[in-house]
Amino acid sequence: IMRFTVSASSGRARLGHLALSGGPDHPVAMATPGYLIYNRCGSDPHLPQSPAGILLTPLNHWLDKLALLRQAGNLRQLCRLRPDRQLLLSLTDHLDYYPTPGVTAQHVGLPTRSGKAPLTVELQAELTLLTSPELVQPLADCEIREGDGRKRARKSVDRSLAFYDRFTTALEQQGGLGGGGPALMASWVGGYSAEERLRCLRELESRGADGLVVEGFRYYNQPVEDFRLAQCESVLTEALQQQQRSQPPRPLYFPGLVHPADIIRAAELGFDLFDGSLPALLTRRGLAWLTSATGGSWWLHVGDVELLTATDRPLDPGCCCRCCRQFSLSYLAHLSLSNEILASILLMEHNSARLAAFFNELRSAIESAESLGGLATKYAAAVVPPTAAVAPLANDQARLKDDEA
Amino acid sequence: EVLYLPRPSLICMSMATSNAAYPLKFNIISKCGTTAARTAKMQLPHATVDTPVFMPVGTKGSLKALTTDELSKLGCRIMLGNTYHLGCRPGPEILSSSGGLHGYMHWPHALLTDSGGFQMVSLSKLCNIDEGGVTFTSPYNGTELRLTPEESIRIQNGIGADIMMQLDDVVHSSTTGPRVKEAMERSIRWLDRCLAANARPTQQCLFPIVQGGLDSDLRIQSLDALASRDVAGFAIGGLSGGEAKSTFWRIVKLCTERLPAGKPRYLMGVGLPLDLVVCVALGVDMFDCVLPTRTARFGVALVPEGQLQLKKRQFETDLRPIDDRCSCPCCTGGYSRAYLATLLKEDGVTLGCSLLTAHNVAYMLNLMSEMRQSLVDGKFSEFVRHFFRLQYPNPTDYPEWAVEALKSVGVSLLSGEDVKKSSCNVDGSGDVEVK
Repeated sequence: IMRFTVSASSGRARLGHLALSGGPDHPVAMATPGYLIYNRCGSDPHLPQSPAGILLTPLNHWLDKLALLRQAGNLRQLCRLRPDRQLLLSLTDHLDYYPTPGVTAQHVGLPTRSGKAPLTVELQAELTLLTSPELVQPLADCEIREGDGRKRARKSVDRSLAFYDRFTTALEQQGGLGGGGPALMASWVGGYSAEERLRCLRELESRGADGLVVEGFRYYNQPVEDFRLAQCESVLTEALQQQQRSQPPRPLYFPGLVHPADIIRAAELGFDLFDGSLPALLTRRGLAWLTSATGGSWWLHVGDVELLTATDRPLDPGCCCRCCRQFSLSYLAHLSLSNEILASILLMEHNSARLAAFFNELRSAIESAESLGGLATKYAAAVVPPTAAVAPLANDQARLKDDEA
Repeated sequence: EVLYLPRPSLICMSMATSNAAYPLKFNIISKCGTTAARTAKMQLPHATVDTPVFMPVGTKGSLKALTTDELSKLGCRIMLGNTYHLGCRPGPEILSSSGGLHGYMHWPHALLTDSGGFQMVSLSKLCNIDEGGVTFTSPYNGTELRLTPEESIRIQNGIGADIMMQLDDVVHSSTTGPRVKEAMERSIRWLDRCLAANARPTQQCLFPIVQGGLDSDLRIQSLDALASRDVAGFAIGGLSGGEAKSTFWRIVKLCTERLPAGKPRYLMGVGLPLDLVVCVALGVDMFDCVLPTRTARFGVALVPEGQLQLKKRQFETDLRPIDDRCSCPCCTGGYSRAYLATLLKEDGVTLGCSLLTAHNVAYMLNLMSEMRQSLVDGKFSEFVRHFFRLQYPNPTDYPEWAVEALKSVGVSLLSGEDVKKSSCNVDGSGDVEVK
């Protein structure tokens, strides 16, 4: 169901091609380094249709909606997903905090709106069959706290391997593996212990995992924009050298990296897939990602009264998205200041287009064998500010109160 | 390559040689043989609008979670903007330099703006009305502002809507006493000031607003004064404020009977689907209401049988579309009630709101479309009876005021046949029986 080929490389960065057969009529291919499409409950946060590609479908969104999912019997039909949308069934939405302690030998606790919900192997197998994803991330012990040592790291590897084995067995028993089943994206855990990371990698390779998902680096409750690749890079170095030699190549997915410079650096280290959550993260804070840094900043806070006079120019002159082609920056600022939902929709269109352009730039740089260092320097200042630093677009509760007479 | 082009004012529909001094032509296509309902084509600079028409409200220059493309695809050809909000921000100067609100929000069809008067009275903590205008405190920034007839028209000229409303002296429909008469008379004087202040009379027309509270004599005075002005159409104001429905419909009928037949009548702030059907029967051509957009935000879907509160438990696993007879993108797209409820409850996801808004607006527009078609086919009375049967399975539940109102224009909901029209007075005396 999945074919991953590497076509070129520049240093350790590699250009790849990930093909998923979504049935005979809908083969889907994406170029790597690339990104998975962020969505919540089958919908892009603000756009009427998610962009085409592989939709990141975290189970923590669905654990409090099991009755509905079972009633519908088919997640794609329920969410009206077009046939050319492929799914990666993952564990937790990386923009949600990790409020869950609670990994035991039997289950993993995932955060839902109604609190922590347990995910067992059996439940995940059932949900995999209900969802028919092309890619699935078997449950794993991804939890890490600051200060956890080798002992905790070892336990997370042991537990995750056990979950992996039991999951694949359960899936086989329920008839979900083999030619028509999903590819397995195994969680690569091991905390901050280089030895455990290496051990986990070897064990997963020997089990023939189709791909790897890096987990267990972001600390419990650490906000996603606080996490930087530098926090964990050294732990992975040795393991990555080993991984690069393995054949056939398997796609490496590093979720939870939102800063563009970190994505570039991770691509340099050989990672292929990233979560495309940056547009949602920026949009929910009313920030637009510009084509070129203006006044030293890559981000523009659109809900700014000063921008109301910008009637003669779009949000971003270098961008061709609908928001920038049809509307002035003044109108976008006005919508944002007025707490209008349309502000989020237009901003999301722009930020999604911007992310796509960024990845094109990244792939072009690898293809032309440029050193990615130059690109990293360019985006070094593109640091997503912490939540408290930016006034967000009014949340839904505030909008409901904002009634017209 | 920069593809963005600044938006000049959109191409105005060239008006065929019009005898009138304003850019509106109203051609009645068909009249109901029984009631006072009629269907017409109303030509405006930016669109030709079929009436009776429902105008959704895009308060601050956007119709909640819908893009203008989506709204246009639903068949909407005229919508509202609120002068009060748009006047405060972004303000008329920014709007006129962006090609008016049309250019600013990229809406190619017709626009109507209110005067700012209603919000002014309802939203400001303190407002002081005198002959010159209204002084009030802006809730945006706490400063004191003055809204005069001239200032309201100045702002509305900047917004550039096809139809503008006069600034009227607004009183709540529950007000009684000399204040009502004072407001009605002052509104006439303010109408003349508004007409004089219109700097774009060939591009934007102005509707006066009939006032006079719930007093039929005052209403008649207002009607006679307004009907003598050479204007494009008329609005009926001062209703939809929670007054008794039995009085409401009598005032509406009083107005529609006395206003010139060849010009459009706009009933401001109305309303529920039931109100629309009855008032079309009474001779109203134009309506506006925040109902479809506001209820969408609260998860309420409009259907022919009434309303569905999608966030309630009963819909949690309901996999049916909102209405399988509906042709809106939400229902034809196969989105189920349960999935919509999921989306509506998911924080940070706007698709649920977009879909529901589209459905509700489509419902209202389709209701009007069905009424227009029934008028063309000469089957309006049947349509009215059918509408009531869907909304109220049990005839004893038919609202009394609606039964009376329709009887007064010759439709008997209960007997299934049309009856002789009867006259009635606002105070209830007259031929109409009261059950």
